[in-house]
Amino acid sequence: MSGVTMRSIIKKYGDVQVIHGIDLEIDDGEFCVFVGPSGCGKSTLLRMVAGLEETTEGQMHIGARDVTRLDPSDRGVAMVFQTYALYPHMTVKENMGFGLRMNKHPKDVIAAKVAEASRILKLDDYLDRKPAALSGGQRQRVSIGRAIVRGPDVFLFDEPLSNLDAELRVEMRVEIARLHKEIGATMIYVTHDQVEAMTLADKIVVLRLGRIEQVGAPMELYHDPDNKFVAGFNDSPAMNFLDGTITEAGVEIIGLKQTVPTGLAGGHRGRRVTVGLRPEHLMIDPAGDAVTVDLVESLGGVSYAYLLTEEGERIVVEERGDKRVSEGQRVGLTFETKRLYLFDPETEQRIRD
Amino acid sequence: MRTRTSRQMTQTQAAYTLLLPFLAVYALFLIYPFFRGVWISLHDWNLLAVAFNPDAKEFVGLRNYERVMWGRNIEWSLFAAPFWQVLGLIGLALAVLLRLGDKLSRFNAIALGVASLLLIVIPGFHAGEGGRWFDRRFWPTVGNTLVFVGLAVPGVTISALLLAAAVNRETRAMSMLRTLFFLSQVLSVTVVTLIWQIMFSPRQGLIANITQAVGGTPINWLTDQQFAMAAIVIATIWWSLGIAMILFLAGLQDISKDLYEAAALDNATGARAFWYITLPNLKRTITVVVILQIILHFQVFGQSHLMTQGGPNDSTQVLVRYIYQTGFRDSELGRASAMAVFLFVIMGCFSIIQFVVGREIPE
Repeated sequence: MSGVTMRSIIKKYGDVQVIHGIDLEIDDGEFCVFVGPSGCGKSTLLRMVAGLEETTEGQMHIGARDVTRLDPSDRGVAMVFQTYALYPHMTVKENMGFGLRMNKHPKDVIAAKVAEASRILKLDDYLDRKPAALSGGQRQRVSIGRAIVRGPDVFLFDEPLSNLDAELRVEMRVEIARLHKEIGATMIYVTHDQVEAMTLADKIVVLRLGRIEQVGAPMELYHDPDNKFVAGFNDSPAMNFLDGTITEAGVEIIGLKQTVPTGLAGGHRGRRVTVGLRPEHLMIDPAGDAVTVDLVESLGGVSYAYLLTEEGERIVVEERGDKRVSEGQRVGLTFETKRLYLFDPETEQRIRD
Repeated sequence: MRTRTSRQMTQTQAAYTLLLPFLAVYALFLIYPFFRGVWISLHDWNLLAVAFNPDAKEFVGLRNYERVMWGRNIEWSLFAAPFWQVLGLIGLALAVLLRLGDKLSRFNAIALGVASLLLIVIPGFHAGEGGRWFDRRFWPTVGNTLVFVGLAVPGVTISALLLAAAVNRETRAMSMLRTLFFLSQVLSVTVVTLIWQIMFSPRQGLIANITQAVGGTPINWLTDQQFAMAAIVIATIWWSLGIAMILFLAGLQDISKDLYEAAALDNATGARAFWYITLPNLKRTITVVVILQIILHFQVFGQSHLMTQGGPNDSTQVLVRYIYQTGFRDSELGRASAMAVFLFVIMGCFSIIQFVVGREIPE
């Protein structure tokens, strides 16, 4: 059993507190992704699991062991760095075997484990090369190989794909998913890319300013965000937010000149709300006359229409197929009422009906 | 409309124009004197006599070199200086074996081989029966210089490396320490030797005081044949630490922090991280520092001249001081120039090595 448990984890640099009491359970064998904008503390939290950053307060357990005060090498974790962090003076083989060598494993054991890792990652042809003679993708594979060889309880990935070009990134993403299936170890993965988060994760942890905003399975976060931040984060282009008011008949979305029925009505009448609508859930109605088409971006199969309401709010609509609107045209918008999310404008928390 | 090139200089022309002042000064003050020195070394040239009468010199070919470096009845045998020659043989054997076992790169094998060969050949010369060296002081002086270089270079390199590793942190205290350690570098040799003469003084010196405090008898550093060279080496290490430390600091800052974090996860921290991560990544810097120091310390003069006057009993007499004395005290400019050419050849070899190493493609 080698899940990770964090209890009231706090990190301070001098007087500046960057992690504000995190409680988190990561199950054995789970693929957990920390996601959030830069500066949210996701990398710091990962490095605290690794032991590269000291935990100021709170407890960190890996499996049943309390690792809060242990050295990185005693925690049973292996880490894959964004910059690969391969030892430039060692060959691929030596890079992968270095950890075992430092822990005084016999040579034949090291050779066997390196061979096994290089088979999994298809590195057999490169074992005697130095990192400088490898491409970015190959280097990252070696870096992952180095982690596998150590046979850790927990794999840590710190934005491992950020230094790769778009095509390789997709390829490596698939490979990491395959690796997780094959090895089945607990993995913690830090990224700011929501596509990586959505495709890889069993569990996503959304962080902001050193606090957890929401924890859940990818689709759970997508369909049922707890607050405006999570709703706006895990999608690209992001969710549209419009001003609205609760009325007798439902929610009046001012910019769209529509009122949509909602279960809320009653006691909330007159309350101001923020209405959230995802670009992929909106459809353009050429007969309508609520918004103006400002700009259309065509990406081939998909196109994004940027619309302006009379209040100056910007709305993005995702369109599939060939029907196109032209810039300057007046249109209306339709959507299914169940796709509508309401948030409190002050607290940004979700208002559920 | 006229073309650009007819009005303006081409890049090549501009380059030569800008280089010209430097080349002129370089030729006048370095190239010409160098060839002039070689020319003088081929003459029996008394400084004072030639100064008063420019014709009072005589072309003698290579005789100055013979008088400085050779003797009567000089023989060569394998056991003239058993220690050095056996060491050379061991080195040669190692170079061949390690190369065959592929444990040594070709460059290193050749370097070790050549050094070993020199160690076998050079100490093997000795005066045979009834023979003598024409200049008894020259080779011992070369030996002293080699001992000085052999002690000062590793001394400076190792202490500068350890210091650099220790002060390579971004705190205010460390940047102050960096400045402090570098400060000795800006002092002139006169000041440095003065400081260390006081330090080494058997009566009021700091070292003597410490020795006495722990109950020992103070060493007479500068007048004891056993310790004089060590004293000069210590002063030199203290003096020339700064540059080497700065070079190492630059090298250390090139090593990514991630590497140390990866190493920490691989259970290599502290001394092991230094050995497995820092040292291999500093290999090129270390080579550069070592060769620069070799070239620098072969020219040692001030320390020996001011602290011990070459003594006691010639034990700290070094090549440049001997050249200086031969040329300007004894006025034997021809012989002095021959020695200077010899020194030039040695340093030229190390400069070439540095050039070759510097051009090696980084891994």
